[in-house]
Amino acid sequence: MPTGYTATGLYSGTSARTRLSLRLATPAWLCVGAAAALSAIGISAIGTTRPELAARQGLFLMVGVAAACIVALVPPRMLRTLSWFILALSVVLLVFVLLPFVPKSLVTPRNGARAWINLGAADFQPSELAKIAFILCSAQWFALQGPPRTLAALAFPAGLAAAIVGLIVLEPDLGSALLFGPTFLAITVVAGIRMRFVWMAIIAAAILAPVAYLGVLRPYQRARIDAITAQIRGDDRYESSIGFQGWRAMRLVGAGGLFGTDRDRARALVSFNKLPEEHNDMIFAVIACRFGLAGASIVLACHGLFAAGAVLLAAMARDGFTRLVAVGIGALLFAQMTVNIGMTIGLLPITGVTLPFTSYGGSSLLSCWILTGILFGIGIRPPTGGEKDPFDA
Amino acid sequence: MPSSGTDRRAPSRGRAIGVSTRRTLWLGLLGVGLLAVLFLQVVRLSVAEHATHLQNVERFLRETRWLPAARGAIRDRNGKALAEDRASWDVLLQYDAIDGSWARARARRAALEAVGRAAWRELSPEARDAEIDRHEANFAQMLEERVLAPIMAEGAMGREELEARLSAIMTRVERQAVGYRENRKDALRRKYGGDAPIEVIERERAPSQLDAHVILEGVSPEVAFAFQQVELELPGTVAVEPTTRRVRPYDLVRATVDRSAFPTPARSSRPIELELEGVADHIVGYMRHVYAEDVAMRPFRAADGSEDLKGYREGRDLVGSRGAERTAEAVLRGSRGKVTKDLRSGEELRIEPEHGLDVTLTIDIDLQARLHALLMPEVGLARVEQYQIGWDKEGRPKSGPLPVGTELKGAAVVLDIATGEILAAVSSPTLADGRGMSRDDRVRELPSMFRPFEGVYPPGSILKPLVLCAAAAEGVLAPDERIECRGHFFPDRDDMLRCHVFRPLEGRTATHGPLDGPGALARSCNIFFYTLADRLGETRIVSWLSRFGLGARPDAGLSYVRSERVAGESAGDGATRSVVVGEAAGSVPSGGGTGAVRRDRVSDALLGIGQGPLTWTPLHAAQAYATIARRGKVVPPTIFRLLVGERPTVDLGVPGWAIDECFAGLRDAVDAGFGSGHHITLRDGTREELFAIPGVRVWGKTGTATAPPLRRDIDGDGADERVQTDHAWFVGFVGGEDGAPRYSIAVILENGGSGGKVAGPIAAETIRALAELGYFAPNTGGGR
Repeated sequence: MPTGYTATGLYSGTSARTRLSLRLATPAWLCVGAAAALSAIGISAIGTTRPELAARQGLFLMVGVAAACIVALVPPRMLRTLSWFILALSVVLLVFVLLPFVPKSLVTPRNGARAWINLGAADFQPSELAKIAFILCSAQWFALQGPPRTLAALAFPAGLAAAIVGLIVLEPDLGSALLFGPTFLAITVVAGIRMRFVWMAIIAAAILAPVAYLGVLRPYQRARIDAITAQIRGDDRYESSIGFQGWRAMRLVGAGGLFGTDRDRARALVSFNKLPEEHNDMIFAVIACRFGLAGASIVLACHGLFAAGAVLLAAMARDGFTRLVAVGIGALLFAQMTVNIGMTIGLLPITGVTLPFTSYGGSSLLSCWILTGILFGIGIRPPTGGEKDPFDA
Repeated sequence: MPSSGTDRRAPSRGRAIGVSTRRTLWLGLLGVGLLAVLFLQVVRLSVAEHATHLQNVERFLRETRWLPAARGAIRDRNGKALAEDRASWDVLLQYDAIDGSWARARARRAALEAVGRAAWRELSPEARDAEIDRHEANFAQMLEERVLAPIMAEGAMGREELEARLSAIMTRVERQAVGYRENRKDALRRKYGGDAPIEVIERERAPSQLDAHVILEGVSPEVAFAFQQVELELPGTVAVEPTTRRVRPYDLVRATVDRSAFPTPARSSRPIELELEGVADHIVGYMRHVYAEDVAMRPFRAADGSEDLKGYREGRDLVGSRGAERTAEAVLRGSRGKVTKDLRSGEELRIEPEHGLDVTLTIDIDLQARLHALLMPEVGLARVEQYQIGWDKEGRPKSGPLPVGTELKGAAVVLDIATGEILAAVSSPTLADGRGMSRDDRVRELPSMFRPFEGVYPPGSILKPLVLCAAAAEGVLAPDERIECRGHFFPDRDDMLRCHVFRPLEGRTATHGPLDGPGALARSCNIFFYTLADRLGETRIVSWLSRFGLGARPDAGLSYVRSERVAGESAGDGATRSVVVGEAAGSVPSGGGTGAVRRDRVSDALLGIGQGPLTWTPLHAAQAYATIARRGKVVPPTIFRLLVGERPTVDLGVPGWAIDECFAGLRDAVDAGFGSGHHITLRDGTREELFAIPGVRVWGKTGTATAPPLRRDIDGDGADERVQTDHAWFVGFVGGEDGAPRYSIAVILENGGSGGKVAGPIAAETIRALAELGYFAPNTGGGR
């Protein structure tokens, strides 16, 4: 058979050894490398203030990497088939945690939220599974239906997103719910939505935001928005009250300077400044305090590399499903990073969103590595599909 | 790349990128933009604002505690402590133990442990409260038995008294909390305007609600140790703190006054026992909490955040309120110490406190106490008595403007002539007397005024020696010159500018005839001094009076600057002005002979007898007479003992013969039968000498100065009448038998009437006190 370029692109007619080397030369390595670096930085940062948790995080990492390896072995076409099952399972679990008659031994309220299922050795957060399921199902939907040129074409995925978001908001876990917005937006944009719909959505959100502020948000949520708007202006009126967490985090980031400080001093600064959730939501403040601008820049760069890897995977993909999965995963984790770091450095309100790969927590770390595994699984396999760009009319 | 000939197709390098791919790449660029925003913000925080944030977070690594400095003592000239800090222990109750929060918090903890953390999270708020309620009674009982009962026992107080004290603390704290929150709200409103987050303030606890409050003061070390054990067993209930307490040993003195030498009508062989409250309290002063003006003058924390260890903290520090505590504040205060503890390493950096220095006053507290007693109305001299008013020829008591028994306010000053040191300065009523008065009485009696330094009065006849000196110095009076007293100054007007012996309406037309200076002084002839004043004119009189100290603050050591609110519509809200208080300048006529209004001869003449727009304080009077005693040399008075340096002197250049005439006249005034201060006349007509005191020589001048009209209900009908009275002065100096004057004395009784009869006996007793305390012993120049 003649070798060379065909309609399917580069891979046709090459030797088996060439196909193997091409599978391994994939942008997914950027994602894996960045994920590994971020995980290692996270363990180090957690160990600064909570050494006992750092060891556990290491165990979670091993579980996560193992899960990633397993997921990477699953072919994308099988993921397409499994996506609806995963979605159904996640919806069932999201409803499960909200049921009032569920024993407290299974669903333990934490900080006023019913968001975790007690598995004995660890807690599992159904919203993490829902994120994965949503990305797979949305990608599958648009891959089958084609570019959403009308609003009606968006009805099902938007309704699906609304349903999942609604269940998560009821927990309540507003932070996780917020991440669905940018993820859905990125998927629909790449899937070919008319841009006028996007601008309409953005304008509608801007108009509805004050309504949501006054009528939907709870008082403590409104207070957090008040606090951050004051903080952005440099107004310290809330520093010793509702803005305490945001201001402390921001000040600790600034205190790190260029290269940070030694471990003991960093621990003392974080401890005596009474930074809440220093191993969890506020881990970036600990990193910046400990390692300075240098460390913070590395974290930002790693997230940039991860997103770059996802973007390149998406750009190189030839079928709609894998492209949208790559875009969805990249957008989800990038949005999560932006919200977390944004709230730590005084640009966004405190929302209780963790920093991917870095914050302490088994569910979050496992979910991030599963997503990485999916990307890697996409990346190491030859692209399928036609010569044309998917979703082009 | 493998290829075949005709089947080879060119790669699709020139084909346009699809929309989806393009959008994917644009999303990537958007991500780059967001990353850049995050990065730039991190750079801003870590580089541009690094120092600010580092300073802010580092302050939590340190714990600072302040070490109080002991305040210096105030001592009298003999070293006796008039005010000093004494070490003590206070037992304090935490506010949480007072308002029930402690028991509630402990009960909550116990309920949580009993129920279990997991189950606790699942309980509703109502269920949690029920669990807490079950445990709360136990902790309340524990508090009662182990804290409150010992407090009642050690404090010798019953349940009701303890409850009253705790209630008073709570009332005060809640009031302070309201004030604290209002101040915080005001501060936020000023800073942030209408959208200030004042609702946040309502949830704040005021500092007083987090503090411990003194419940037992000045306990012994054994009691302090016992409560320290309670503190260890029940943390958060009591605290024991070392403290210093400002003690004034002479706040209450028991004294015995010998009345055996009093004028016969007031004499008694039985001494009178007295409790003297507030001896020298005006001079020593008190402490108070700092005001904003004190903080503004010397803040503990400056605007740039630096600390001044000697600075003041509002709401925490005490400052001298008046008297020596106030004017010697900078010396007495000292500087607090500081312990900065690194919370990481536990290392402490100490700055030891610098304790305040002692100050020594010139007063003799024993002499001060004697004079304090003499001015107490119950002793019998400082009140209106019939012998002061007199009897008519038929022996019927005359009536005076004030009824017999009326208590008199007054002052007395004793000054060491050689050094200008003030040995005693007494004001009646005292600050302590004022604490027992109603508001109306305080307004009328003015106990807060330190009359020796702040009371301004017309001098009256006691100004005459100064006028004589001025006339001699200006050459308008010749040595031994005689001036005729015809009873009135203007030849054709016998109804004005009269001598006190010439009262035609009473049928008395006596005159003194020709008098020289000593004779005029001894007899207090008005005509002589009208004449001198007329010759001098107002300008020269004022000039000389100013040289003797009138119209200027003596600056003896008790004056200080105070802010007071400016009243009146023209003043804005909160307008204040600085005023000097503590010592008065008195007043002299201004602009005499210049300008549109020229003073007439009558006004000039009246100045000669100390009447007109002239006022001075008892200190001015004592100081002026001391100047005469020094033969015209001015030595500034002082109430603080100077450790180094000579006192500055100014020679006024008064001719020696004028001084001699003053001496002669003042001596005759008290020693000669015709002297105005020589005797009192009893009912039976006998004369009783005032200054027949063995071992001393007295020179003095009486004065009966027209006082501003009083408004007093004399007849008891409930309505005040306008009463015209005179202030009673006696001013002079006294020495030992060797003849050299050593101490000048000034005594005034407000509205007392006759200087000789009212102020004279008190001056005489003052001299006896000096003698008994050894002030006239041969080698006691400059005091004991």
